[in-house]
Amino acid sequence: MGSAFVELDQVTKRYGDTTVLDRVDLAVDRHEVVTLIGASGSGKSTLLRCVNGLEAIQGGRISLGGDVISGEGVDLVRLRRRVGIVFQSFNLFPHMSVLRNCTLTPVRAGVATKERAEAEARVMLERVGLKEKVGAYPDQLSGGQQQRVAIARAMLMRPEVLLLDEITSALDPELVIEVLNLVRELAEDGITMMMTTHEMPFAREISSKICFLHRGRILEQGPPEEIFDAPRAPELRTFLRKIHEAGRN
Amino acid sequence: MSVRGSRARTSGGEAPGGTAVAYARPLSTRGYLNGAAVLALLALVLCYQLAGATMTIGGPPRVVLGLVLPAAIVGGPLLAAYRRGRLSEQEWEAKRYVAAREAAARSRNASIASLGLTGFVVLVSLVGLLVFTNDGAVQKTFFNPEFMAKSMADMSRALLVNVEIALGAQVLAMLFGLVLAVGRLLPGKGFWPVRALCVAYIDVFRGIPSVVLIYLVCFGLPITEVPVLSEGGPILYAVVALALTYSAYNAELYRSGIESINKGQTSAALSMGLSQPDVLRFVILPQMARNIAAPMLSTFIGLQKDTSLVIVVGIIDAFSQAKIYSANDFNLSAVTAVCVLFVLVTIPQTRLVDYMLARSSTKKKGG
Repeated sequence: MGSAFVELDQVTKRYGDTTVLDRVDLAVDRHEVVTLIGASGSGKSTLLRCVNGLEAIQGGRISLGGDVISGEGVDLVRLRRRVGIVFQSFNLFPHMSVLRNCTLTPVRAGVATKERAEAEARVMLERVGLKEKVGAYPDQLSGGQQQRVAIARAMLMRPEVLLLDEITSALDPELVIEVLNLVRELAEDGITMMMTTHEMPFAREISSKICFLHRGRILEQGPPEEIFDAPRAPELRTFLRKIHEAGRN
Repeated sequence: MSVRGSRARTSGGEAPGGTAVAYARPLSTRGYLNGAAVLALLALVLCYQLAGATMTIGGPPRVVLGLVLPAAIVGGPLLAAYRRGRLSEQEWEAKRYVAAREAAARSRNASIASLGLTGFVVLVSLVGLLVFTNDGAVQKTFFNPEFMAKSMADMSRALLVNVEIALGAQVLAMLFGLVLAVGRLLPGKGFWPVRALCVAYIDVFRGIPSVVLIYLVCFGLPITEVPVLSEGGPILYAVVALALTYSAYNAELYRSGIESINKGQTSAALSMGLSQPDVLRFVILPQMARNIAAPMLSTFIGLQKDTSLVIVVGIIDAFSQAKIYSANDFNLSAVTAVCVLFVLVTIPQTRLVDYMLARSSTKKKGG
């Protein structure tokens, strides 16, 4: 410990009396892809939201590149510009065109001038295969296209870490692949990522580390082969068996 | 046509022309047609009565206007409904079941059109009868064209006072209402006094009748002789009084508009590193504006009508001008004319908001 890029140290999150994250330790190195797995309500999404500062934590410490990013004194606006997040429900701004969705934050944050932000956005949108949708509005796009815009939008802030929160769960099966392909490319480019997903084969393929969360605790973590082929915790075995059975139906 | 009987027909194997689809029964058109016919008869009776009440002469003109004309208006769809109903029966006899059901469905449509048309005629003639009944007493009291015309010029001028008060109060109420709504929604423990203050203001000023507040502000403030506060004119006080009430209404409107926006929008905006004020300005408020445009117009129209309450403090607006005329003439036609003025002012606003909403939705859809 102590040298990782993103580091969670005994992180605890409570809503009232309910403990959602219970003394979670997690380390993510630069260029690493870490996938959180676990049943609904195990705390995966909350963990990502804590790293982005969308949720305050009640105990422990989160650091990014050596800077502490949890607690009262943190400049949340600055933190969030270093950590991008993409949600299950896309959350594009429906009243703005695709281009403006992508340029709003860079321009407002003073990262780029309007012209430069637009030029960069066009390049990024071309890269995610949506060059011709620049002027479209979100409700004219398919779910997969919206999610790719959301990824482009997050990437344009040049985040140091990208958080992906079940980004394919709201998509029709035939659209999942186009989003996963994009994530794969980002991983190959060396973007540091933390994600939650139900796409186990995909997680196995691109992750350097898998963490299994159960009731707010990390019960087991390790390289994908270890987690999927030789699970030790009984809860993890049950979880994987259920996933496996669901996949066969 | 009983369902049971028609089921039996289907199971009897009478499927038409060997097609796989067997229709259970013919569509019945009788109910629709009979209903439409009865109402049409009622309409004719009413029209004949109305023609008698409005015209001193009887005979041919009364028959033409009271019977022939309405019969021509109402009769067309009715006739079509009847013809198509007959056609349907013939087709059914000829075992062309699809054509029979199509004809029946068209017959039903014609009956419904006839019902709508006669309903309209019935309503109009009922109102007409009411106006012209008792030797035109209602008409003379409320709709005397002479008195209406005489008062119109002065009232239109006085209406400018209403417009002035309404516009002033609306601008203030929209701004202050937004401050209240945002104040009420401020997150964080430290802001509780602000939130409490906003809630208290909204509770109090939404509860006070506008007319009472106008009375208090317009008569009260000048008496206090507080510098600045007591130096305004009556119209300014009326603007302030109405703005106090309507900012409370608008605050609730804004709040519901803001709360109706998906929480994910705020999460997404914050997560990228937009500041709180930027989130409000670029993400929340534009979406809210669309959501609340229609109800905001309703509130604004309410405010426009409430400007007539300034009569209690002696400001000469359109209504008090009308009241003067009606008192002099001993006739309420001038007051009816004021109603017409107010309605004429509000209708274009409604159409404008409809137009703007339609345009922004086509823009969003890239139309």
